[in-house]
Amino acid sequence: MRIQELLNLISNIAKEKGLSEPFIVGGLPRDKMLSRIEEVQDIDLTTGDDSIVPLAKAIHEVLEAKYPDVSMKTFPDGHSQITLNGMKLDFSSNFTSDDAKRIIAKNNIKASPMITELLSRDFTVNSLLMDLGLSKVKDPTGMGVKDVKDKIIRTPLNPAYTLSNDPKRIIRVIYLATKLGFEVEDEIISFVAKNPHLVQGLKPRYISDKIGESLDKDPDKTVDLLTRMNLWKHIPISQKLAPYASGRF
Amino acid sequence: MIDELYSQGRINDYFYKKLSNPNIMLYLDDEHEQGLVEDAEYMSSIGVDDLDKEKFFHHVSLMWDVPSVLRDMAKDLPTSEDIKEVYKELIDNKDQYGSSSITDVFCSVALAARKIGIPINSNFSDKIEECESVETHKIAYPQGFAGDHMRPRYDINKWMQATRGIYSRMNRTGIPFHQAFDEITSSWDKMEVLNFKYWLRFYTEGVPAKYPKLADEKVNVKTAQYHGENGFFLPPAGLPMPEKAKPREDFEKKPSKTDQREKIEIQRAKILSRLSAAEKLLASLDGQSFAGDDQELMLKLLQDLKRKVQIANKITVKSSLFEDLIYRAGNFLKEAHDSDKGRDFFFKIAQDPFADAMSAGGEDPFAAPAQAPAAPAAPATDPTKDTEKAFEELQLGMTSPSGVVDSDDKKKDPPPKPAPAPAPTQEKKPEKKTNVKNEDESFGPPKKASAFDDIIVTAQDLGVPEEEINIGEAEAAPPEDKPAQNRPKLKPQAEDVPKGDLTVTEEELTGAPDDDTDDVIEAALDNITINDAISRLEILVGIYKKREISRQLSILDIMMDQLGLSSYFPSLGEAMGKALESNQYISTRLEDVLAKLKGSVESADADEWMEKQKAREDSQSPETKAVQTDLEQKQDKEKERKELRKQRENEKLEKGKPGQTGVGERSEELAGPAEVEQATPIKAR
Repeated sequence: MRIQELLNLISNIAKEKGLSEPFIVGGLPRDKMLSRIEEVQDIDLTTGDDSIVPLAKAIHEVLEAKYPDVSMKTFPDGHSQITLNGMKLDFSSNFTSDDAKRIIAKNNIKASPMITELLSRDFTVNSLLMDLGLSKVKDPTGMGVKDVKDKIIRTPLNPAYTLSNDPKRIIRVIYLATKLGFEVEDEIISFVAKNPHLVQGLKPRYISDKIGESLDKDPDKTVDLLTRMNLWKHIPISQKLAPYASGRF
Repeated sequence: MIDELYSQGRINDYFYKKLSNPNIMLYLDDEHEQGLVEDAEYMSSIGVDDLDKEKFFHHVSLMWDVPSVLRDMAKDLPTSEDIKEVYKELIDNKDQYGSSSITDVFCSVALAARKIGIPINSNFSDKIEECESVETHKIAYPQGFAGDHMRPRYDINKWMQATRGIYSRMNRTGIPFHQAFDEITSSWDKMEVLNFKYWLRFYTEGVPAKYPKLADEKVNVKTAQYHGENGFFLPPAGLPMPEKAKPREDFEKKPSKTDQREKIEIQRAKILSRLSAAEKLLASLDGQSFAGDDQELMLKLLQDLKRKVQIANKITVKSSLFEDLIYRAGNFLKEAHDSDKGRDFFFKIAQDPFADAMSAGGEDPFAAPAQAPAAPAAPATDPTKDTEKAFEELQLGMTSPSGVVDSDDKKKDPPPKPAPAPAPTQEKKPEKKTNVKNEDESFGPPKKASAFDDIIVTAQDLGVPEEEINIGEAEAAPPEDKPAQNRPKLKPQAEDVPKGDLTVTEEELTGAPDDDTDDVIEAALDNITINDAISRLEILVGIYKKREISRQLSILDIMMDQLGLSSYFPSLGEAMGKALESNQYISTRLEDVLAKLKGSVESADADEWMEKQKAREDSQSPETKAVQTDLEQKQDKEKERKELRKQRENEKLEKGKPGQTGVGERSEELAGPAEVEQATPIKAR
């Protein structure tokens, strides 16, 4: 089954079931803007509300009839994942941070659940939406398109909220910056430099793998970001990282 | 004159004796003599009849000024008789009257005057009453016994608790007494520690037992008090005596032989694991980039080292035999191949494990240096071509300490003269006589190889101490080749030789021995055919299929178990495992070779073999046949399953490839441009 067919199927099921319109979110719309899509391994889908859950179930039922190998996993945080022939479809729109809700309320912003969910995401460049027709990229927050064009990684909310909610994002900053060749905003760097201990709760394997991948893409940038963020003493020094680590402590 | 006064009773005996001393009187003039006589007469009248009284009188008369004091306090003017009486009273009762202060003098005179009835002035009456309440005894100066200082008081309970703590720590952890003592008293005052030590020693040495009287004395337990003239601090009888401290030798037992052996095996296992880890590291991609052309040689060295470590017979725990072997390998790399990297690599193995260096964030030995060192000069010989040769050199230069050249490494071609192994930098070995057959006996820089049959280097040549040499366990050195002349000739097999006639002709000799073994072997192999090889292979395959060696080892293991000795020889289990593994390995490969060979044999030979096989099968019992057919069926099924599995995997791989069927491809729609719709930026920061 080709991607477009799959997406059409998802769109049709959503219409049939009377569910909210699903969108592709995350890395795919960003890469579409940058024209750097290579191999599609996973697609993140969102509806902005709770209808994502029945949508995932319905899609799974339909695909299961045709493809016996398809599998569905539901995670504790509520998001579901369907795996079909190695491709992963992530259905999530349940994650909205309290900080986002508070800030929206404080600033009297009229925000739909979709915008709240997008503001709860990790970076503005990942908060773009793409329709299932793969023709249009939307930027409801108004921040994503500009940051993609400016090639800068910025958090939708203050880094203190965004990065504290999920410290994995600190490592993803480095990974994304080296992968896309983007710069990192100074607020993120200064926040992490003052709070490098946040990464200590992460699994060392995750940090090593991600930093390793970053080193493969751009070792200079990786080392520079690690230095500026004051992370050397808080991350495990893998065999790959060891040559760069001398004299950093 | 003195006699006259004495006879008249005007001087007493005491002064008569004194004044009769001619040594004194002779040297006095008349005036002084007269003065002495008058004083003697006066003192005799007031009762001075011994030296103490005389001294007291002189003290009182000079210091007290009795006439003046009496004149002040008496009602009436005292007469000389009054004064004499007061003197007499004071001298007769001198112990009752003090003179250490002015008050004492006044009181003494007043009391003496009142006693003899001299009326005292009313103004002094009150004062005389005060005199009676004052204790006029002699005090102030420490005299007599009070010469020792008071010893500090220590809490005996605390000391008893500390003693218990020391012994419990010793029993619990096995540490020596002095260490437990230091730990317990680490926060105490130095003097208290010293006193506690002496106190403890006093009891541990059993001193109270030597002095039972002292031990019986009752002492306040709560506080150590100064007791007795010697100041011993003694607990009351009945308190538990602390145990005697065991001598240090008890806690530092000499290790038994089995302990030593176990430690040596542990050391061996550690070294082997280090070598295995290093081998793994070297075999990886990083290792390849690190070692470069030397990778193969280094890997061979590592494997050889492992074997040598496994068979090396280390006797003492403290010796560094295993590390020395590794250092020698490193030195060889440096000396023979000018490889600093290789040498450092091996030195690191001998010194520290790789894992520690890597996990601590230390330098990665495989990391590219910041500045590449200057390229070394091109070696005289091509290292890739000479790897084998170099390895042979190493083999011959690094024989095991037992002085054995491994039989695995023997080759048909005479090996070249070995490069003598340089001594490791860590230890200096004493130079001893060499048993090297080659003429050059010095261990200088590596030399070119020359043709030699066998060179046996003993441990002495390598400078290994004699205690490390143990030929008993290792394979004995091969005996020297005896010269051909010494070989006994074969006995003639001819039966026609008459008795008594010992002449043997050349024609009658059969099976004459040939001096050249190689020629014999070559002659024997001249007419070999494939069938011969196949039959030999069949024999070998049969042997390995039967697993005779493993079976015999199992029988031995059972016998040892029956004797109750199997637990003492865990290596037997290892040997059994390895025997099975090697058996299986060899069996499968030989079968493969046999199958291939048979396939190349002509049909006639194959038919003959098939007939033989059939005949063999026919001779088997029906049960065996049934088992055989069952085994064959199972083998066929297994093959089918493997083939099916391969097919499925291939299919999966085919499906997973992008650009073909299935999801995961790069969609054309995704590749196209995107229409962007941007909303007003939200001020959320």
